[in-house]
Order: sequence, then C-alpha cells, then structure tokens
Amino acid sequence: MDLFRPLEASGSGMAAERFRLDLIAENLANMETTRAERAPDGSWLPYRRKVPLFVTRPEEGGVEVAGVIRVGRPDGSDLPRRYDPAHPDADREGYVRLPNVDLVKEMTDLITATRAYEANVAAVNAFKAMFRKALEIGRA
Amino acid sequence: MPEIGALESIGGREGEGINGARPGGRHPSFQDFLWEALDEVNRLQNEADVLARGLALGEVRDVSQVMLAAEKAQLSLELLVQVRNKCIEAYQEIMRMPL
Repeated sequence: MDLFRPLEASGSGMAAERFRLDLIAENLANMETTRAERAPDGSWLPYRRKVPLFVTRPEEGGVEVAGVIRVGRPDGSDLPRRYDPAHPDADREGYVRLPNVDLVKEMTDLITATRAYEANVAAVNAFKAMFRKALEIGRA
Repeated sequence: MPEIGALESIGGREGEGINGARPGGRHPSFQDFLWEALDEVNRLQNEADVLARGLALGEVRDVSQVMLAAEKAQLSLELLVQVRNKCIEAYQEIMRMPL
C-alpha cells in the first residue's frame, strides 16, 4: 500500500541491519575457527569474515540483502598466521592460518548496525507522528 | 435551462456533473471507495493478527515486521475512524439544515 511506503522502507532497513547483526555475531563466534570449509584437496580452510551486501529495491523502495561476501582469498592464503606447532591444523613450519576476523572492526560494525537500526526506528516514529498530526487537521 | 447546462460544463468534462460523477455511470461511488477502504483496513488488521500469532508460535523471527504490521493496522484504523467522523459530521450538518 502506497500510504505506508515509508514504513515499508524503514522495515526493510531494520531487517537489513538485523541481518548485519546476524553476520557480526557469526564472525565473532568464529573468531578462532580453523575448520570452516574443505579445500578442493580435502584439507581444512579457516573461517573467513562475512559481510553483507545491500542493494536498493527499485520497486517498493528500501533496501534488501543481495548476498553475503566472504572477505579474503578463497584459498585462505591471505589470512593471518600464528606460530603454534602443537595445533592440529599447523602446517609443516608450525604456522596456523587463523580467521581474518578483527574484534575491533566487528565491534565498530556492531555499533554501526545498532545505531542504523535505531535510526530506522526513529524514521518509523516520525512517520507515525506525521500521520497522526495529519489526522488532527480539522479536529477542533 | 441552457444557463444551468453551461454552469455544469464548467465543473466537469462534457456530459459530466459538477463533481465529475455520472449518476448511475461507470464511475465508482463514494460508497465503493468506503467499502474498499474498509476492506483494506480489515486486511491490515488480519495481517497484523496473523503475524502476532506467528510470533507467539515462534514462526516469525523478525519482531520489527510484527511491530510494523501492528502500526500499519492501527494507523489505518485511526484514518478510517477520522473519515467516519467526517462523514457523520457532514450528515448531521445536512440534517440540521432548516427546510
């Protein structure tokens, strides 16, 4: 319904930010995961940071999640290394590839997602206030 | 009376009344609009109801969606009530007209 178009847009924004929060939670949970997926040769690859990709909805307005981008090279060759020969996933030289999840980066993203969600709620409340004000026209 | 006919043609296009409404014609009447609006409000209420039920049953995971549906239902109902108040007001105004 065209009457509630701003609400639809804000709702899609809230859903998008919630999805971003999902990914941040997953990134934080997998900060030390060395076995996320199998490489073509059967060996384990560490977890790679996930970020959402947002696109605008041309018809209804608002935003939608187009997909999830996994940061870094698929073979994990650009992931940080840590010397830990006792680790089961260590290579011959004793280095372990770790996920490229940066705690500080994730926390700032978390704050961004929270504030963006709040901004969408503020837009919804502003729409409600305007709607109610319009209904007051002519009320003595 | 040709004078009145001329006046009528000022209001609308040729052959139409002053409000552009044709008596018994294909234009939807005010009643149709009202019914349509009522249906829409009812639909939004039902939608909010289904979502609230889904949330209670754990089927809907997005709380914002439920809240937005509830808001839409409430705002559309408020709009409907205002339109109804205006209609009643107009009706009473006409009923008070001394004949």
